[in-house]
Amino acid sequence: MSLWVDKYRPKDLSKLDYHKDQAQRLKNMVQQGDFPHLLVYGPSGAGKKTRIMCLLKELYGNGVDRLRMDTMTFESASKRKFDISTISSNYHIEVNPSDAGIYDRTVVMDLVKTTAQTHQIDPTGQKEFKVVLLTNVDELTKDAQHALRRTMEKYVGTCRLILSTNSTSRVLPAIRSRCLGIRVPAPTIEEIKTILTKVAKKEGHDLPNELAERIATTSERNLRRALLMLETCRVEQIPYTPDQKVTEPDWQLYIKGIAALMVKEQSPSKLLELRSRFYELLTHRIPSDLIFKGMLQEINKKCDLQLKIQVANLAAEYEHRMHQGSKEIFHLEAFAAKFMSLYKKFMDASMADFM
Amino acid sequence: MPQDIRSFFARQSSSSAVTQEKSRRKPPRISDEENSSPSKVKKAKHNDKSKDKEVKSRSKKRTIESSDEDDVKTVNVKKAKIEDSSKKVEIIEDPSSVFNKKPVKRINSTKVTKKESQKTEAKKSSKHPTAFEDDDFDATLNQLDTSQIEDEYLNSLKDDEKEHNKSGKKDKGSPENKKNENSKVNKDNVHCDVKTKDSSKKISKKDPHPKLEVEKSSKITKDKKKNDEYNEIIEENIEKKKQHAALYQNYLHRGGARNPGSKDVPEGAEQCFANLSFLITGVLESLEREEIEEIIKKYGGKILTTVSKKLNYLIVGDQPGPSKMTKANSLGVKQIDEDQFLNLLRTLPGNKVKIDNSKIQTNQQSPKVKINEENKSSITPIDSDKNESIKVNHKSPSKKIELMKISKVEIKKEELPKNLKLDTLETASNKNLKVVETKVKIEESPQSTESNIARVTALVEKYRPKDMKQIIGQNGDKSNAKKLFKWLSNWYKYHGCHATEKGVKTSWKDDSGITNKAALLSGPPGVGKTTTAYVVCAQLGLEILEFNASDTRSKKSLQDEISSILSNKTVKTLFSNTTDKSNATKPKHVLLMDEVDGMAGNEDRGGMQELISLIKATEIPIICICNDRASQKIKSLANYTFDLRFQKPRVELIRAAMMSLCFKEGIKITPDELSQIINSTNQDIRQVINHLSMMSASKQKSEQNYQEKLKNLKLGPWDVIHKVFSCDEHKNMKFRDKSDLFFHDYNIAPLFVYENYPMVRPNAPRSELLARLSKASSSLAIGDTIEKAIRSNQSWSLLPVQAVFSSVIPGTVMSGHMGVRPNFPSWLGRNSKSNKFDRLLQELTLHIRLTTGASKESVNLDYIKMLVNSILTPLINDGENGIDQAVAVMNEYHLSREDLDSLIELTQWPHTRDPMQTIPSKLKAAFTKAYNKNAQAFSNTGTTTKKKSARENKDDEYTDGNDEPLSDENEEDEKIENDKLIKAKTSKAKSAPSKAKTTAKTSKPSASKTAKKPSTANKKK
Repeated sequence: MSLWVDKYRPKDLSKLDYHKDQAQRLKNMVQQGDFPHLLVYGPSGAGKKTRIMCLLKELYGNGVDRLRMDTMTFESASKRKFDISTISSNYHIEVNPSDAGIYDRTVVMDLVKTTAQTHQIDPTGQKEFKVVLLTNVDELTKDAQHALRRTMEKYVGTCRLILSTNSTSRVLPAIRSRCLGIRVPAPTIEEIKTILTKVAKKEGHDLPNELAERIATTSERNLRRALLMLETCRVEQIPYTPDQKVTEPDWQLYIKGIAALMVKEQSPSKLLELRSRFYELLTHRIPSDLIFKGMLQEINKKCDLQLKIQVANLAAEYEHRMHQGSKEIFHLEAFAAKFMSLYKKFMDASMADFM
Repeated sequence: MPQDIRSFFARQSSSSAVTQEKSRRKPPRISDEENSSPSKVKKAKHNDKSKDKEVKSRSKKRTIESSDEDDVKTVNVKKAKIEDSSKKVEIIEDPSSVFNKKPVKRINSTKVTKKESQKTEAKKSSKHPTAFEDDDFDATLNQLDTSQIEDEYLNSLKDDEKEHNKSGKKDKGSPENKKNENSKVNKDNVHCDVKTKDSSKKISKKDPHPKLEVEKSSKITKDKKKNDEYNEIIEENIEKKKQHAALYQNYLHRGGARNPGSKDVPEGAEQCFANLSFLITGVLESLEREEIEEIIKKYGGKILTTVSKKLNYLIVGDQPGPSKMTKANSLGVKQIDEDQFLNLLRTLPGNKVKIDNSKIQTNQQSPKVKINEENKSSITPIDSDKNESIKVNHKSPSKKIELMKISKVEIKKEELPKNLKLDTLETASNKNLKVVETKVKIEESPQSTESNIARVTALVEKYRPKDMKQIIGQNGDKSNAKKLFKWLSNWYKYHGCHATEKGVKTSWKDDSGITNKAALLSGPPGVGKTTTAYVVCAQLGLEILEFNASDTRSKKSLQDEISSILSNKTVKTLFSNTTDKSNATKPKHVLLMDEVDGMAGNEDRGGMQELISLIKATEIPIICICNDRASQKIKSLANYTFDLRFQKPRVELIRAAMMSLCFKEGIKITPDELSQIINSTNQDIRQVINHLSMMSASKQKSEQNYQEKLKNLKLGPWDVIHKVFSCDEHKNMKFRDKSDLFFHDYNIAPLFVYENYPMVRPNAPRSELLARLSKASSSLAIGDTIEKAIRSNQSWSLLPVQAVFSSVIPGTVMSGHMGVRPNFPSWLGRNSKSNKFDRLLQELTLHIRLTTGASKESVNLDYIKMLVNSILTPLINDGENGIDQAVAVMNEYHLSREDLDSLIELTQWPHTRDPMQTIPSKLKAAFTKAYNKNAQAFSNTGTTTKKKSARENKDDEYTDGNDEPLSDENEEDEKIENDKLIKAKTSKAKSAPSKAKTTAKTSKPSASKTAKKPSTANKKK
């Protein structure tokens, strides 16, 4: 018994609920017989992976559903052996090269080569190329991306690469130019609402429009999150009521708490408290840019316009610096301290004006 | 006249009695006068006739001085008389010789005087006045004195003797002695005369005589008076004996110098003390006994242990030995205190030629020595007179009158033999020269070698422990030195060919190591391993054969050199069957293999194996020494050895020993500074001594050096963090010093600063507080970006920049004081926890990947909460009935029981409750059971799973790769896990949950996971 997210995941291009034009185009492309390397990008929860799997099914038929898990052993340049787990069918292989950390280059090089070097024995009835699906390409190191560049061209005859990423900004232009970019935008609120009601109906529940609306907005147009929230709501209360509470993810609540704390009081002791909260988030592996984002959104609600600009500026600066550095907590705290100092000054000044 | 004179002397005696004390107080001046007398003497020379008065005046002073020298007086009294007489005789007899400077004639004259002196004793009284009235008023006085004395002498020799004895003079006043002395004096006088005319310092010599005479006369008067007092003195002596006990107690309790190092020791001229002998009594103010002895030796002086006539100076300190004092008083030895001694050192010029040494030699030796000297001095002697005059000129300012006297006396004596020898020398075979020289050298050697040793040896060698008690930190009963001692002393009992108790089995508890044939001393450098080995062996009378890193210790060389030694037997034992006795007498050997961990490389190939085989077969004890006990090379060796591990001695132990060393060496250092040095050297005693010797070498700059050394001291992060933020410290710190703080440990420094900067209360108005905080934190953040650059690009040159951002700026901005104790960086703990969570997530992502395509991040952010809910809510809501549903979810997502635990952990936030707590333990058990039943069904999927499981374990290992310390652990676990897993699958998978309680061990989830995965794959097919 799987979660609704997985249970109602469309398996066919034709069954996709939104971006139907795009789905149609993809279908046409596949039916044409050949297609270039693909770079699928879009925010998480927009349905990239779903779309890719549908595409593969369109290509190879039901065979792609028979998945198996494999471990491949690679040897790095420094003779260090490591393993990467892959998920593969007869027709494709899915790898997250960033699992290998700094050795992702080796993975990219070896994997593509080994997969691409074998031709299909019987090209009739099947496509003459295999598909290598690389996920989280934006997390690849520069080295790995450069390594990818050449192999992409070299083995184009025997294999196609489908790259999946959240953002193209961290993908080398050279790779971007070698791929057909397919953007999968997040579904609109409306789209999410229709899907939610559809799923609820299939499960035999009636979903009030207000609740669907609220879930959709809270999920930040992340369909996966919306569906999971829907199910969470069901766990908490059934049948659905319009004024039902929508539970946000814990981490999001936590970030909001931090933001509230920062605005509430500014003192060194609060800074220490903030620090322990940041640590809590970080140990839960909440991405630090999400923390920044969450904080900024929350702070902005409570700030004057003038201050908003400054804070946004600060957040951008410290987040950027954080990516350059290695210890996220330093930058989070630096931002918090800076904000507190700024906010206090601003408040004192406005108080003085007021007086 | 006599009346006048007597009255004069009576006055003198009284004054001298009064001034006795004075003289003691300021002997140096008097000696100065003596020494510097040449100037006065010169005056005297210019006007021979006015001399008398001067001499008189001087003689008064001298009496004061010489009043101490009771012994000398009586003897001298007689000498003086004779001198005077002989002087005149000479003057009369050898004017020609004097003018011609012919030594031969002189010698003759001396002979004459000798004879005369003996004869003239009686005549003197009559002769002298006539001869001297014109010339020497002083002399006449003397003669008159002497006449009195002579009367006494002639009439009551015995009385005199008694008196002398009573007054503690050991000179028994035998006429023979006196004659000898007289003869000497005569010679002297002859010389003196010659010299006065040669414009040398005859008068300087003359001076003492008149004084002495005067003194003597005074003494005699004193003696008479004192006759009664002596009885009292005897009584006093008895009292003194009683006091002695008390004094001895005092002696035992008396400490070292009161103000060590309070006075600067001046640099004296080289060999300026040559020819002088010293005796030290009491405690000096600034110099330790050893120090002053060293100084004296350094400058060629001699240190005597008892007061004798040869003694030139008695250095008197606080609480002097009373017996020494009295004896010195009686012998008239000059008493000086420490200041005077230092003055002496300052003023005495050096002697380039080592004549002085030889002059001190006894009369019998002196002739040879003299000749040698003459040879040494660049002028080849034709005329002994010339030589002497030259010599005298050389010495003139430096030498004491007494010395000159002696030397001249000696010379006179030598003259005959010398002349003979001179001929031989001049014609002369070098051999003779050499022989003579070597003799002299031998005589000199004790002094010179001693001083050389003192100069050459490093402090480390000088203070190398000589017996077991001196080894720092090895005094305890359980100490390694003791153990080694016992082990070595028992060795021959249990081992070797003559073992009495061979093959004794001991319990493992017994740590005396008697079963081992070799001992392994291991420990950090500078704690005294080698020293211990040497000292212990020395105490047991064992001979050491040492092989250290400087010797080649390859297999071959060990075989060749050592094995023969190890297994050799004395021929005697082969022939005689009484082995034990003979064995006991022969010197036993110990093989010391120093620095065995250095046995490596091509040079020492196979050395370790050979050493082990040597140990197995050895007939003598072997001691191996190494630093790194954990080294791979040592491991094999350690099995065959008695393991003695040396620990670093405690700081206090080292400090105590070093303080006493500092005292001895005159190094000024406070205990705090010393312990800092000790800490900075990591309790390496040798290193500490080396530091100290450097300090002693640059005494004046020690202050400055110390400052520099402080900088070089390595601080722990706790001290560093204190310094970074403390405003007191900042006052005298430059920018450089601040940035240096960072470099004490640049790995941890930024973390420490980061951890503690909000805790500091900066010296700033409250309003600025937050601004400062944000400044500091921003700077730290920049520092972090720099660190990333450093670590990822190996651009270590940026380290100073990081120092500024990560330490200097936060420190300066937040400069104030820390209210609380600094914390240890929590980042480390947090980071490792974060890594752990990451691992768990990775695991989960992997497991649910077949069902959902979500990435790790989205799994973390969205899925896990829902997953936990979907599994646990049925259990919470429906109890037993929900079990099936929960297990179904878990199977659908290929989750293991451990995954559930990690899921729960991941979804745990500070404000949330543990959902598992709401589930009764009974239900939990039922759930686990149900889950295992299901899992069991999948577990019989065949052999392929095994392979996969193994592979997946590897995969897990990789995922741990980020966390290095853990990965090792996991590897080990996995091996066990694999075995268990196979068993579990073939038999029952029940064991899986029980063994896999700890979620941290990633290998375990994988174990049960693999059991299912293939099954699901099969299902789909």
